[in-house]
Amino acid sequence: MTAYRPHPGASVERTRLAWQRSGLSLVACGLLIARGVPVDGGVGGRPSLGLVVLLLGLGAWAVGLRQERVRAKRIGTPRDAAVLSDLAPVAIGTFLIGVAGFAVGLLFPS
Amino acid sequence: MMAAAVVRTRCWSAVLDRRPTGRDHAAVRSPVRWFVGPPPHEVGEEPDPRFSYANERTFLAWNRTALALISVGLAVTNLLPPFDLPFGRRLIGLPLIALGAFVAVASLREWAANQRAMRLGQPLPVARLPLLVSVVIGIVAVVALLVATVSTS
Repeated sequence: MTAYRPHPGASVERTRLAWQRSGLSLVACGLLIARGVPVDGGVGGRPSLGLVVLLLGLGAWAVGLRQERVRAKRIGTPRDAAVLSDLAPVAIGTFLIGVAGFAVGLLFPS
Repeated sequence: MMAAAVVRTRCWSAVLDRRPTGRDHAAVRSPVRWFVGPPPHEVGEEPDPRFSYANERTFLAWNRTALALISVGLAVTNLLPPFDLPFGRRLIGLPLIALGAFVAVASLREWAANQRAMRLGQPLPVARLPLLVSVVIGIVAVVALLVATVSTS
């Protein structure tokens, strides 16, 4: 006998939007690093590093959309919630961006 | 292309979620388990799915906070004009980047601890990240004030 599980309702949509915001944050972070901001008439940016972060952001966005589709098929079953392997890539990816940023800030401040 | 992506996803899941594959991934699994603890789905029973989704959104919100800290730190070290004080920009920016990197992985640990508590029907553990982030940002703000004051005098 299957135990009653309440329908997640709008929380699925809110979670999908949260994934999209996370992807957009990475894209914005990549654009900022790639183009920089105007300083004394010049622009200090790092296009290659920014492109990597931007691609990570698009990847996170795609992962979020894919997970939402996969989970939509599992609603009502005990497997509709996130597991460790769903979230660990995002956490480790952001950690690696931080490590790379620390190295850039420490060794190559422009 | 899609098949390869599915295979990769299954491998990743096998390593972290201990899905049976007949291979031992202890070298990859051990550091993650050491930091995060046992995978939440191994203990207890699945709670109300709305709580699980809320926990996931909290993780994502912390992840965005980590990205914001890293972005601001990079902007300070790379985009601000230099201060008169040597290493002035790095004194302000590097702690923010380091905090962002730490928050990124610590938020995964908090997500797992919250999920385990919910699955076991226990009270949620006390969150330590808000205090840590507040204290570090406060200290960096004081350092930034001192650097700006010394630099312009």
